Amino acid sequence: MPDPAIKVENVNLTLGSGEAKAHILKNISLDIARGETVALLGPSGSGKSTLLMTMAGLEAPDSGSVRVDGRRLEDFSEDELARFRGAHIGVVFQAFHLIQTLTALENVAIPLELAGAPDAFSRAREALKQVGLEGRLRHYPAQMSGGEQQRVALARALAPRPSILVADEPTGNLDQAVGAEIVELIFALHRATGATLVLVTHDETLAGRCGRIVRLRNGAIDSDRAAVTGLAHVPA
Amino acid sequence: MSQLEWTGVKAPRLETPSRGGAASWAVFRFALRDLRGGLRFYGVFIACLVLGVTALVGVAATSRALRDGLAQQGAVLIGGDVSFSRAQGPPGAGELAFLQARGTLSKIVTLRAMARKDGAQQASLVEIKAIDAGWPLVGAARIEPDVAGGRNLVAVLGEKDGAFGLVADRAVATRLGVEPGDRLAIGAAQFILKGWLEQEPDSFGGAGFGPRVTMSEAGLAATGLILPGSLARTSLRLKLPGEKSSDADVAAVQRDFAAAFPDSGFEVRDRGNPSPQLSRNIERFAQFLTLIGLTALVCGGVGVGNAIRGLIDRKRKTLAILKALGASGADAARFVLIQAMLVAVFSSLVGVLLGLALPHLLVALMGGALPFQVEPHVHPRDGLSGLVFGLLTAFAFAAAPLDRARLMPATTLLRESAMQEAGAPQWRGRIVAGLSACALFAFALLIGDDRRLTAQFGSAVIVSFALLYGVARGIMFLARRAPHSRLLPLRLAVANLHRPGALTPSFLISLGLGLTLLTALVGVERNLRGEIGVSLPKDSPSFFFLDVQSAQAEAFQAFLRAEAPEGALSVAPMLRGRIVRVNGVASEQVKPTDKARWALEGDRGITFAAKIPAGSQLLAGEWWPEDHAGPPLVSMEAEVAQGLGLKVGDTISVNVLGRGLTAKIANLRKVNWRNFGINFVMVFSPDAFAGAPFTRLMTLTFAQKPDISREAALLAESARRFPAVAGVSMRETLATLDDLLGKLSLAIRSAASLAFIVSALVLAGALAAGQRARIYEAVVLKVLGATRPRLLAALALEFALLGAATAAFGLLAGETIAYLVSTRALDMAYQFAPLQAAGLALAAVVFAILIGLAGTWRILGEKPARWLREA
Repeated sequence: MPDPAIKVENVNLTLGSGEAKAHILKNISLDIARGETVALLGPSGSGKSTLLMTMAGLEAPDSGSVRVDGRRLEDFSEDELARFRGAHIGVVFQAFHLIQTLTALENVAIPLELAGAPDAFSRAREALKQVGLEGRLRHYPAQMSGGEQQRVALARALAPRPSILVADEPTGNLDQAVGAEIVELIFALHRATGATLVLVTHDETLAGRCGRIVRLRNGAIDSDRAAVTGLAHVPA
Repeated sequence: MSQLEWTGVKAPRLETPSRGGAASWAVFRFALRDLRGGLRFYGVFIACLVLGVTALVGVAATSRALRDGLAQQGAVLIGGDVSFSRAQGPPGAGELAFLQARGTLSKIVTLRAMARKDGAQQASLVEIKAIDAGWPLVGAARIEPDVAGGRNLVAVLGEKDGAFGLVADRAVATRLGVEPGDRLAIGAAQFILKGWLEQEPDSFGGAGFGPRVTMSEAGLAATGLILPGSLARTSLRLKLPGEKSSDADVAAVQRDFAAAFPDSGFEVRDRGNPSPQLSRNIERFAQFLTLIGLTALVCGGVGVGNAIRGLIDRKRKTLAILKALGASGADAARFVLIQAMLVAVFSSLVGVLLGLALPHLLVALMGGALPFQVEPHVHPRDGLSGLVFGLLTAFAFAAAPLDRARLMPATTLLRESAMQEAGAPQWRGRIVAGLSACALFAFALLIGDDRRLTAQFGSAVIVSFALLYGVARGIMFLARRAPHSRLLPLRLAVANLHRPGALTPSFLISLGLGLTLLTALVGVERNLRGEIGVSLPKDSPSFFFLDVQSAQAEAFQAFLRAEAPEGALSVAPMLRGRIVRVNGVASEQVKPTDKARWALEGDRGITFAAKIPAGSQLLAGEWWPEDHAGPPLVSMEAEVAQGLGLKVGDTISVNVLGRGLTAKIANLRKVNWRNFGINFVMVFSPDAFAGAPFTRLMTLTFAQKPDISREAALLAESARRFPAVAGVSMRETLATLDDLLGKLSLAIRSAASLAFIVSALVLAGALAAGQRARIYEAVVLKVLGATRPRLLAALALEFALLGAATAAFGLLAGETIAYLVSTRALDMAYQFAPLQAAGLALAAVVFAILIGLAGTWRILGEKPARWLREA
């Protein structure tokens, strides 16, 4: 059986110090198969975003391990992890996180350039065309709407052809109509690229479009079910 | 689940409050409370103000201490309540009698001569001081060992076994290799060195041509050096009766003496102003340092502005909450203003205390090296002006960012990039900032001693600021329009140059001002040193020989021709004279320009000639015929003539050897002083001093400069065979000048480095203000795969670009100033030094990179998740 795309084993994570110390992730284990679409669902403070960050190597667990594409993230140095993430994991944030001083094209080209792709700009242009922004290549983030900025962020996340796409409440900053457009786009791109998709959301409808829903509560997995069948998911 | 009970329901509803004292008081209390834990955010703010205020107050207090010291020690320094000195022979009986009738009188005679160690080849120029039994009338001398043992010093300077006693400055030991007990020959007399003169009360400690040796009047007479026309200077010191005579008495003596002996040619000094020249030099140096201090303070103001921006950025959530809870924009601004001004008061007070302590520290460290005793006193005016300067600077530079905090809605304040989005300040902020800057300028004018200079400096600062800000905006504009590079680090670096909240203006203004100042100072110093050192013209003489008596002139010339047959000998007759009237107006009443003032101070060397001297160029009028035998004519150096308001046809009166002479100005000359050849401000027609005794000034010039040992041998032989002739080595003179210049430039560079420290602080503050935006960007790049070396490269490139832009401006502006100062103010040739400029530019770029990376190093280690969560 092939390695899962993401394998989380007994992960514990605490944040803060002293009296503000909080145990955010409590002994979490989770396997996500390649090409799977998974929604992390839960109330505020349940640890879903932190779990996503841990999967993307943006947060290091206190104990346990995270494997992505068969590689243990804990084995990487900070710079190796950055390079690995740039090549294998696309990240989309609720707040878009575009660099304000660079154009849409330049923002999308960044991960490709960092990975040393010789055709970074033509691939970035292609990615922007895929998200319907071929006419906004030279625009700066401040000149674009929230929906357009999230499209740029999506193009940037997918331009290096990552095997995994993680999205942290990608529609959280958008109105309903624009949010729906973005969701359509994410799933269309998932189908087109075959990348594993993990997204964090509050939205049950959006979660319902994923193949699998993992519910968290108080830093632990509350339930893990296939969304369509409603059956409990059995880790491979 | 327990039922929550809301007890507040019983409290009365709040009405919408009217603005007033209660709200202001609440904001004040809240600001004070908040300050308790937040003082650490004010580090750069405090440091900038403390340094700037310390510099200003320190300079003011130190120069005041020096001025006060000079005035208090006036009587000691001039050796009495009033001193009368002249170089044209001893005082007349009438003059002596006049002064003796008014108090205790002491007479000293000073003269330059050559001294030799008995039996050795070496000779050195020394400055003789012959004292009488009355010396010192005021103050005390200290001899090591204490040979006088409480007796009058003259007692140990008397003759014994054919040799007179002598005490000398310790520099004689190094020049001639002598120790107490050794014999020295000066002129025709023999001396025994009795001890070292450790403290000479009536000395300004200036750089003379040689070390001081003190002997008795009888000793000087025995040297045989006092001959008609020799350059001996007699000084009569009068101490009025009583423990402390009044200033009116002192003035009365001077007035009566001038009335009794109007053309005596004496230069009169009183205890109130013992050395106008030294006072003026202290004043100028203090003004110069004050300007540097003001530059530091203004530079620091930029730091204050940045610090306030950074503070609002950090406090934006607090401000947003305050606004959300009912605080108005003005309340929010007041909150920051109260904190800022409290910290400004604290910082300025610390600066005032440190500044007031500076003269005490200087006296403790180098009191012994000062030519007079300095006892600093705390003057409230210095402290108060420092405090006002500090507060006005803080307010002027904090006003614009404060206004932004006032205008920004709570929702904007909550955003990460609030301050970056803030844009340019509104008109109200601009007006407040402008008015505060005007108040700062007006205050500087009010308390400045030289209002014209302060106004010029103020204008220069405003122009520099506008220029630097304009250049910064220009760079931002160009960076925005520049084609986007395909190289990511370069693209990021260029983008950072023009993005909102970019460091470009802060960098340009603070580092630009510092670099401009440093480049200008280094440039002026380079040209000054070049002028007297490296670029000394080949035709400059190697030796000056002073005081060659007429009787010895031919023999001495023959000696020089035999000793140095390849040398070119120039000879000019020389007398000492004092300008007593300018176009009929007494010289004390003439208001000369700065460049000409020296001509009226003390005796000047004068000469007479049939032909125009070499190195002179006629600018106006005509040279007299070689056989001119009419009324006396004089040729004046053009710049001095202009400074004294003289033109061809006007008259000038001089006192030479006690005789007054009025001559008509026949022509004006431009003199090339640069080759150090023989030249004079005043050249008279040949018959003007017919019959008057004069000495000759000779110079010896070599096409190929001789080495040190040959120079020393020539001087020693000259001193042995012609003991009355004082030989001055150009090499030694230049070394003395260079040493003096070195000390001066050390002081100037120290002051300039202060401006640099402030600019480093300002940059640190600016970096801190924009830190959040940078960390955010670095974190996003890390998410996208950027490694730390890549981030480092992008940051280094950004700071290198900023450093290069600043260096280009700083060098251009600094060298322009150096050119103007060198050619216009100092009348020197200006030479550009490409290597030095390249070195400074490189240093500026490295400085920018280092300070930039030091300020942003933390970014590299930031964990992305925290920032992504908070954003």
